Amino acid sequence: MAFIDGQATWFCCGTEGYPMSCCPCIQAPCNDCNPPNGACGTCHTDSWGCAWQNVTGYPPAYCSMSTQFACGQGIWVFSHCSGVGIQVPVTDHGPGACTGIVAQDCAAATNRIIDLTPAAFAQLRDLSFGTFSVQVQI
Amino acid sequence: MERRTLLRNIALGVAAGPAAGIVGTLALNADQRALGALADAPTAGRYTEATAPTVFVQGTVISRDARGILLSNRNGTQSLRLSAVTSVWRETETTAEAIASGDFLYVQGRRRQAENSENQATQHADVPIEALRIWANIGWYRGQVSAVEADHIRLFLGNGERTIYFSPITALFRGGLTSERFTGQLVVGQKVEALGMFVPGGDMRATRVWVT
Repeated sequence: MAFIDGQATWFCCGTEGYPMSCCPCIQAPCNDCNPPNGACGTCHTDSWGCAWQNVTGYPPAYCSMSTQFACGQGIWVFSHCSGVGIQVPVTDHGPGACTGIVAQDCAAATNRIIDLTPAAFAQLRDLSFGTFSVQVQI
Repeated sequence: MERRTLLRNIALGVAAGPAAGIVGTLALNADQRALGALADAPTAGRYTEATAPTVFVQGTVISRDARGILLSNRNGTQSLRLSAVTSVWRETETTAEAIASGDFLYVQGRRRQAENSENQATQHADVPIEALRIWANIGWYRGQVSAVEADHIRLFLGNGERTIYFSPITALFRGGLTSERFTGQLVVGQKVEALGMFVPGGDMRATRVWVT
């Protein structure tokens, strides 16, 4: 096993939230989201979870990610800068975006490899930063 | 470090080093961090298991007073207790006094041990939570610029448009670590991600905007 270096952002899922903030499909109104609880049907903003780019049963893999995880499988995600990590279950398929944001931290990662629910993200980095550099155990 | 920030960091256990993490988390030691990308995965025994659990809840503020807040969410209601260590983001770093009825909150906090054990069988019961960190009306928009004005842009989201307002505190990133103030330098068609505070009606006052 090894680590992949990259960047984590956060996203919302589920049917609850401030207007238009709760859905996984580019902030569409909740009733337009299909499904609202992510590709795995288990995603909630207030529970630990993540969107991984290559999920069993959901081709194609985003961003040429070769490592595949299944819905519900736990992934260890570590903050590159603090070394603190959590294990989060796969609850969705994403993120679709691969680059474009530079993490404002010690590692300045640019490749977006994982999206975390706010509940998971907040354990490792303040939500107001939006992103941080991570090491994901594969 | 400001005293409030120090207290919050200690309470959250995220800034005091790997040994001060949270239950269910592990921390890499310095040697492991130094290995960098594609390092051999450490075995479980080489991690430092951490302590100090936190919980995360969300909901809409239905009432509040000086000591606490009552949220409505998918589980019913949730009481929050405010204290000296509670810190609040509401577009900027502020205090709990800035939180208003109708705000949608993300809350990181802690249940008392006794309350926690009593609550094991009823996870969704309204057991008060000591709020450590609160984010009010925070959210993302990801879309394509459809119009650029002096102090805002319009963003096409795939099924509609929203206005993203810029302010003097909005950090605009165009491909790097250095931010700049918005002076109209975006163009129609650019893909943009905006993080900020939702305002009534669903528009946003951005705090960070990335051109992707």
